[in-house]
Amino acid sequence: MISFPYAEEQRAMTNAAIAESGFSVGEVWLRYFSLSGDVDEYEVEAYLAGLMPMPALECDVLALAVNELIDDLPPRRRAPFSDELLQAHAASDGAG
Amino acid sequence: MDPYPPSSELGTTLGRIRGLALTQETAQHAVDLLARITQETTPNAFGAGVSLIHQAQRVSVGATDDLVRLADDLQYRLGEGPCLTAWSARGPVMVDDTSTDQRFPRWSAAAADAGVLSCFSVPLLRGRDSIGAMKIYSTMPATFGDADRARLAGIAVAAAALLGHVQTSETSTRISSELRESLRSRDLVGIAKGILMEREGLSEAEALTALTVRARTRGVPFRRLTADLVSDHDASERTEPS
Repeated sequence: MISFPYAEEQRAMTNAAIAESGFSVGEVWLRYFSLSGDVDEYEVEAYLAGLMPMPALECDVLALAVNELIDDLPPRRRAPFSDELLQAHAASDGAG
Repeated sequence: MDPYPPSSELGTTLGRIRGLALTQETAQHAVDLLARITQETTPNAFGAGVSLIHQAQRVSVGATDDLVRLADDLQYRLGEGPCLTAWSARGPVMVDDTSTDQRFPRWSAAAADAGVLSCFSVPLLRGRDSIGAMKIYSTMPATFGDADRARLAGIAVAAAALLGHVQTSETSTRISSELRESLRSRDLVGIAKGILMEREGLSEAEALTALTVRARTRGVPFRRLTADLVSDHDASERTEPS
């Protein structure tokens, strides 16, 4: 079933991405299912744990699901520049 | 390839919805049993009850008899009483004599009229959350001693651990709407695949591959890509003479 030589690398990195972003397998599976994924939740969990392979296309749909979940996360807070704060305060003081 | 692949996944999905719907019934059964066990192990108690409370509303109530149910209903109707206080203050509440106790004047008066003279209630605590309360009632004043209180407190710890996993109706509604949403999304992917198969002569797997490549190169969410493809197809079907 596996002709793709880097299937194990894809699995490990997908699993690491899920772990790092803090999603549960249930959340990932629901998104994967909604993107037309065909493999059961139980088997997806087994795939992620490295216990069984999945067809290459399913692995890509799962990767897509994980990436979309990550894209939906709120972005990290950024540090403001001094002129941005000056502008923001000028605008709110002027309005108030 | 299986010609009808979605069916087993649909089964899993529906199984989840059904499982969640059942948890309400399971909870009802569990609170009824707990009320009975509490009464049987507390000879001084005339009756016993268990309430699961979510945002000051009862979601399930178990009671050994109508008098317990009445005394319980009165608390929620009047918005005061030993169980509500046990639940919100997260500590035990003892009412030795409803005909003289002044902490819950309206409830005590109504309970005394109905024949409930003493009551002991403990919260059901799960971690930092208070998920409900258990109580024992008696038609005699000052019935419950230290042994009764310690026993009820012990039962409540076990009961809270058992009932803590029960989903509130709010969560099951939220999850089932998520599932509906995901079924709709999955449906759109199916239609989009069909459009590409017909238009570009692709196999089902090739159509799905083409869609994922498009989503990645254009940086659009898959859901929007498929929804756009379907609505564009709808629009062109309407304008083209057939």
